[in-house]
Amino acid sequence: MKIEVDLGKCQDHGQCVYAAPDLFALDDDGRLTLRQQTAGVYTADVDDTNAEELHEAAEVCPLQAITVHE
Amino acid sequence: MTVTEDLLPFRDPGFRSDPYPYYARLREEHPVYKHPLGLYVVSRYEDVARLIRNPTLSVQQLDFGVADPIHHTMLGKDAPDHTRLRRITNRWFTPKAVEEWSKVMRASVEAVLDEVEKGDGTLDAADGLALKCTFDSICHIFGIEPTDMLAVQRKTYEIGLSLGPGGDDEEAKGTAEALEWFAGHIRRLLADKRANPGEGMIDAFIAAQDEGRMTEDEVIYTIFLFFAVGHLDVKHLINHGIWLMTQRPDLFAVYRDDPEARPGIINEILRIDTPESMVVRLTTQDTVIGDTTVPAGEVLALLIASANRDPAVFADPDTFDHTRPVAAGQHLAFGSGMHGCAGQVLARAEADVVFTALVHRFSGVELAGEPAYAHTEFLRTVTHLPVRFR
Repeated sequence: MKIEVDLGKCQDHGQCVYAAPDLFALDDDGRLTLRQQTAGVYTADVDDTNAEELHEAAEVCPLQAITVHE
Repeated sequence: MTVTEDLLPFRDPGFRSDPYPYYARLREEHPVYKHPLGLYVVSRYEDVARLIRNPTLSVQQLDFGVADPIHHTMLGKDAPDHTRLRRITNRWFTPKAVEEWSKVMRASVEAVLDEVEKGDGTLDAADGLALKCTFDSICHIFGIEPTDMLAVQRKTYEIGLSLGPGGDDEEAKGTAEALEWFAGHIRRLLADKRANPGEGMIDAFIAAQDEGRMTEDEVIYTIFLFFAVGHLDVKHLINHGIWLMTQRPDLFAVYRDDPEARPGIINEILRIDTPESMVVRLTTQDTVIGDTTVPAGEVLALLIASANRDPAVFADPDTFDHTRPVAAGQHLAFGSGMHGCAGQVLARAEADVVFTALVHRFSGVELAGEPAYAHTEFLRTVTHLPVRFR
């Protein structure tokens, strides 16, 4: 499966980190670590074993910045 | 530098009615201002945006005084307790859940507007629309009947009075009494829920308590928190939007004719008159802010309402402009980071339901009397908003 994280929408609420700690993390400034890789839309292939966590992260994101493609 | 003059006179009526010139002076002259009450006040966007996400700042170690029970809620807890409580409540405010709550909000708004149309077109939008419909919605989410609305509003306001810096003994007494009222009211609701279970958020909290995921105090005061935030800030967003439409008929028309402009209009309402003007944090280590190093154990007041008017990020910041580019900066009305507003999707949806219903049913809105305000040092509050719809 594939994920997209729109870092233009993201405001670093960190709810995805609580939902899917294997996939998301905050740095020491409280910003999503994915920002170190891109400022736009982050895309990645994700192992299906993380599906449940990832769907929760997408669901709880207050900015709806995470999209999951099966 | 020593500043003897109080540049942020929290209790001054002039400051409360229009704090923005005070904020502007702070941003320019004292971006990290040591207030006479002892707290450090931070007013520039860049600093506020960075600090509001800073994971070393604590809310759990703050002294809330008589409002200490708020430490039983996510507002007063750091990780990991904060994380645990957010995960229990977050699922009630996902966009999918909010679609359901929006239907309840819409039904409540349409019922109010039916009555307005049957009457002479006038309404006190503050209690009659903004409060009533948001209160109906949060009670539906709770899974309870919408009773005691005015008492909930009044008691919430009394708690808010002493939460800001520099409250007096009488306000502290009011806060303590109001918290006691809520605890009693909520205990009765919980007893009733246990006798007549349903599928609301309160039922979910009861289940979480029975499974050992929440303490009884966490259940009680989390319900209090959602009673409060379920109407408090979002009510101001709605009131301020309606007031703006009375001043700017073009905005009424844009909202009706251009659905794509609607999110930008709601964002601009939040930016230009941010309902909750500051958040407070405690430093747990040396914290560098610009030229100032704040030692551990100090209280920081992060002025989000000032950050939202910072000309370094928002050109011509005192002017309402819903077409301003988002890329320049996102307003901080909902905070940001781990304590960012859990209900922001709902708040935006509720405001949109009201504004959309108004512009579709009526052709315009005007003031039918003078609005009345009861701003506190950190909360913008419209108490009366008499309007006439055409």
